[in-house]
Amino acid sequence: MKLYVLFGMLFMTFQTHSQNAVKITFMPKFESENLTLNKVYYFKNDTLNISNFKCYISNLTYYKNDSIVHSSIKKAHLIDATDSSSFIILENEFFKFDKIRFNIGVDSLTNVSGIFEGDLDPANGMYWTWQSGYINFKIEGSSSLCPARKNKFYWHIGGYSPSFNTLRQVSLKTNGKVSIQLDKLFEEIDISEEYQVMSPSDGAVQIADKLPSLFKSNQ
Amino acid sequence: MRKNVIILCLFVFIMFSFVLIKDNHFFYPPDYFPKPVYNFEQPPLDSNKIELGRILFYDPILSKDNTISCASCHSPFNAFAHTDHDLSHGIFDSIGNRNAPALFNLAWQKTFMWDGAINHLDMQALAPISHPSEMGSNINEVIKKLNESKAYKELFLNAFQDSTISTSKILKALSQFQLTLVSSNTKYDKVKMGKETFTEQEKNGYQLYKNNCASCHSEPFFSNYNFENNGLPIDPALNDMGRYVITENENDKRKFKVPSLRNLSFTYPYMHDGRFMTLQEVINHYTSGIEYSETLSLQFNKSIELSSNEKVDLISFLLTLNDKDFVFNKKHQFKKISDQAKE
Ligand code: HEC
Ligand code: HEC
Repeated sequence: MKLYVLFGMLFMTFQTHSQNAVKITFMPKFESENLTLNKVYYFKNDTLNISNFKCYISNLTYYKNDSIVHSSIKKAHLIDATDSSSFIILENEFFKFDKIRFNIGVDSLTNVSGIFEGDLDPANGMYWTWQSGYINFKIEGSSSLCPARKNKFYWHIGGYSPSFNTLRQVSLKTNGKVSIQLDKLFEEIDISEEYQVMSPSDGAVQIADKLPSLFKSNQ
Repeated sequence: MRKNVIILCLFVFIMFSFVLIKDNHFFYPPDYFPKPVYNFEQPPLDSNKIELGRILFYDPILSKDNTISCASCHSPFNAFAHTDHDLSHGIFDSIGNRNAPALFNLAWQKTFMWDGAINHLDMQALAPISHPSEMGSNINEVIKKLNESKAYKELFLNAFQDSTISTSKILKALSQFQLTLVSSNTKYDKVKMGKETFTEQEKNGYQLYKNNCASCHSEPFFSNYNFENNGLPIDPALNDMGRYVITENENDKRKFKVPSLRNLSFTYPYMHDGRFMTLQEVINHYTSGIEYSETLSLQFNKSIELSSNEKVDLISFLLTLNDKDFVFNKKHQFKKISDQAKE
């Protein structure tokens, strides 16, 4: 009898734990809406759409009162606009936190350590094949202000070498709901000038500098 | 009972020694080769993975129109370089920008390609598979095609105890095969091991090599695998800036990865664009063709002077770096998938 009670209690604690397991949501957004791929947005004096958005979140660490309470077991997590389940990072554990810190992109050690599986599989389209290295942040689409063929823009932001390092750190007070405000990019980048960034370069570094400000806590 | 234990011990011992022998069998560099750069731990070399890698290396299934394999540009009989044309041909006969380098002793290289664009052997194969003028495919397409083959499913199962075909399994298998391409059985190596001796001419050539070439083409690989500018005039049709393409650092303009001098008789034409057909032309370049530029390697501040006899001596030494055992090693040669497992 006693044993049953014990098991029952154990079961309940497990249950509550799994229910309260920490979960972070990274929601790609355009202004106040959740991002819809290929939807036409009217933004300032531009008409634009986003056809592809992917980015890596890595080395995610949780803080409470400025001390670390948890480090995510997952090395790197790929957010992919075509798959809403990729917006969620689940920790399978319960703890309290008030701040998170993470990198946008894949760190240099991982970049030089050969082949990985899962989110880091080069088949995900986030790896440059002709020059080793992960693409940290990728966004593609078209914009009426973009002078390229069919108004298409490509921002593939990556590069891990000291001269073109595009890994950026974000530190954010949050309870778990984070938005990625993609509209901000179109405010900050002059798309009539900078519409094709597809290799580690000064242009990529400049765009990388703007990425942390896209991440907002969404209480 | 005791007897059984003894027999069992003996059996275990024999099995164990087989495992050891088997291991040495794949990768046995001489002891004057330094420690490899490649991390052999995950996963360790294994005969099934190597065999799978070898079959993939020779299979045009990796290219978009099933016409080009790795070996189309990296032939075993040319120490895995390519000799037909200076600039390697890819699908639809489009011409790549560079000469296909020989492949051996890859376990000791820090970077790959003439400009060091690739930072790890495992990642290298993604470049030719995806390059529009090489194999013109992409890794997802390759995985799809391999998945349709029963024979490949079986090979992957044998190699990885799991038949799901993934990027990492394909790349690891290709690496494992290429890691077994070790060239260490030249006359030079035999002299080094005390098994043979140089002729007077070769000895003289060795000294000339040490004085003029060894700072870049250093022993025992005959390359330091660094990036240098050896004074080749720029080919205006290609305007290839080498290492600079990757780093965009002015100091890297016109620098290319130093190639090995092993197996030169099999790897012509020479240089990143295959501009020289013979070793005579190469030596003449070093004695009278060096073009000055800002990034020219300092060694060439003083010009290299060689009499015609010395040139002959130097070449006779270079020929002691040919490794016939390596080039004609059957274990590295063509293997068709149907030889392994019938569909
Ligand atoms: C169309 C010809 C072509 C094909 C096909 C090809 N390669 Fe290459 N390979 C080259 C060229 C050219 C280079 C040098 C490229 C450069 O420097 O930019 C090269 C470089 C390499 C290197 C680097 C060697 C070094 O010393 O840096 C390796 C390793 C290699 N190839 C392996 C492969 C494998 C494995 C395949 C098949 C998946 C393959 N190649 C298919 C032409 C080819
Ligand atoms: C300062 C460094 C340096 C020195 C010294 C040097 N080389 Fe080179 N060598 C290179 C580089 C770099 C290349 C590749 C250049 C390219 O393709 O753009 C090369 C290419 C070669 C090649 C072509 C190999 C191939 O597979 O394409 C041969 C042969 C060669 N060197 C022989 C020599 C000889 C012989 C000497 C001495 C007389 C010498 N080198 C001295 C740097 C050097």
